[in-house]
Amino acid sequence: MSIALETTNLGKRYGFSRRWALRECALSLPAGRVAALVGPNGAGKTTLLQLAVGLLQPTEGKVRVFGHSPFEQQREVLPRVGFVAQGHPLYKGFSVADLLTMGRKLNPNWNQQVAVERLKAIDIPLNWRVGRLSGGQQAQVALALALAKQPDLMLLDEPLASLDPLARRNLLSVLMGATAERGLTVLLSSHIITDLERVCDYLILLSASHVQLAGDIDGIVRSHKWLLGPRTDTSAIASIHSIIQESHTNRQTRLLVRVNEHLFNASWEVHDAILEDIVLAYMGQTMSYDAPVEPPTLQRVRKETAL
Amino acid sequence: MIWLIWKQHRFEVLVIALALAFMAVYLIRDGLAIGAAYYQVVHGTSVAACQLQQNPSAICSTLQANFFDTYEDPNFDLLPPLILPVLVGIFLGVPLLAREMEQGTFRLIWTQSVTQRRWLLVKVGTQLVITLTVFAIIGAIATWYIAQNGIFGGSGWDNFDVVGAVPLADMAFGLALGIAAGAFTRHTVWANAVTLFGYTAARYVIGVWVRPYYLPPYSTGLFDPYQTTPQTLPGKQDWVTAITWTDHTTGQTLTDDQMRQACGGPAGLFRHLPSAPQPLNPFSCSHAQGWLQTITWQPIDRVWLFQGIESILFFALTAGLLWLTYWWIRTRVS
Repeated sequence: MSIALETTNLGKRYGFSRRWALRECALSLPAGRVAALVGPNGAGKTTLLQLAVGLLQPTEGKVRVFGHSPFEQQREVLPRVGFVAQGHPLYKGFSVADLLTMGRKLNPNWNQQVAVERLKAIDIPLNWRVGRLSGGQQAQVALALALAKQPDLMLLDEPLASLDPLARRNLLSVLMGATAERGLTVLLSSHIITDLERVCDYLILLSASHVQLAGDIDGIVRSHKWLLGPRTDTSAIASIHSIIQESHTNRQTRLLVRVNEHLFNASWEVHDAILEDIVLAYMGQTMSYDAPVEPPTLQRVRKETAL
Repeated sequence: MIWLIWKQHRFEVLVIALALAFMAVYLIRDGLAIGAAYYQVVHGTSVAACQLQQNPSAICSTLQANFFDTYEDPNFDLLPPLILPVLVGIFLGVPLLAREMEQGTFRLIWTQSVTQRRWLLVKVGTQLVITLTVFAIIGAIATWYIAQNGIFGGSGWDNFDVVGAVPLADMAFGLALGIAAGAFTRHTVWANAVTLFGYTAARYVIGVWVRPYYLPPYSTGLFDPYQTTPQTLPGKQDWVTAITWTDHTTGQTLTDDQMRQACGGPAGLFRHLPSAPQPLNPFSCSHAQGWLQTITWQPIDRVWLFQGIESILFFALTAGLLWLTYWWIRTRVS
């Protein structure tokens, strides 16, 4: 299977403060996946996406899109990448039709029909000025432009932020359609994981400028478990498995662990974890403040007996 | 790309075109009037004929006095072209990048299938072609305007900034400065201010401090105008770049204040070249103080050479600014 986006030891520093926005980023996103890029604000999500589209030059390391450097080889990479920046910037004085004309004139693989049908499906008149459209409609227009470019990799920075729940669902299903039809690879950032869980099959979790977790969502969910047991020392568990989060009450200890080997310990009650818990636990690990982590929603998972 | 440029910048292009039309109308109208007055035959003679023959007759003095009263400073009409580069910088240059950055649309346009280099090249190239064409037209009209009278220096040093290649280079520089200011400040208002002050400062520094020294000026050397007249003196059309006074005994160059203190009024010292006929020798005070004069100048036949040097200088600045802008948007803007 080919790799759509690959980074090795990728790092980016900004400005006079030379602050690292992203560091030691090693990823490999297989083609055809729909990947969620999640993390708290300022974790480096936008930086990673802009590095991937070539708006940014890496400070160190490499980023490759279908084997090409997005920054050095814009001519090879740009026609294959659809990009919707945060806040979906558009020329406000243009009509929607003008934007489509622009897209047609600037992109070799442009498919006018894709854009027109998409806009018709969501009732956006082509002769309207972009400035007259609502924020959500503008986001839809930006997505239509990116789709009509017929890219192989779609990079979306917070595409859901200005959409109502119905529009979110609609946008995600359009993306799913495109992946199924054309083998499109999607990487979309968000800090809301619940929306993404239904459509994404790959997760990249950024926090504190580092990749905390990256991989197949099924695999991630399967390899993380809640352990409930009497209050004891956790070093025995920690020697084999990785403890992501632990909390104690007087009588009970609750652990979220990444299971590295076969989990076998009769004194612990094992529960499945849901993606949101896992994501929040990883974020909590690296956040500067102690984010209160919700108790695991045990009623939603099947209770397992110790293996 | 051209479609996009027209779509985005048609308003600015129209403003520039209007300014061009306005200036052209003014210059042509006044040029025609001046030309007509200059060559108009009154009582068998004209201002042109009087000037040519240096005729001291009464009719000539009246004609010339009338002409100068009416067209006291015909170069006034040439002022608007001087500020046109700033207008072009602000109206065309600044929005090119500043507006894209203010609205975040550079992330839209740079992620279509066109590379940043090509985008910038086509945009800047189009604007350069438009503005240089506009100013070539203005320049041609200005040259014609200046030729309408034979006494205001023609296309010599007096109109150095208005004729030839220099205004074209100024225009390119104004545009590039606007573009670069937009890229670096990322805000239209700031970029406008930078363009206005930057252009004025660059023009002033180069026009006043650098231009006199493109080639070593001719000089009279030290002499005492009370006693001697140097063999070579600047002609009427030459550009007198400096008249300095040196204290004979100390070798120091004198300031205006020093001279004013020692000799009372500066009239005789500053206003007249030694060749000018004077009823009284105005240099008796400077002679008594032991001061010596130096006159330096650039001859009229260097005008086109200097034009060449200065346009190359400004075109080089333009290229430098555009390269810097490209480097900046490529590596520092995301």
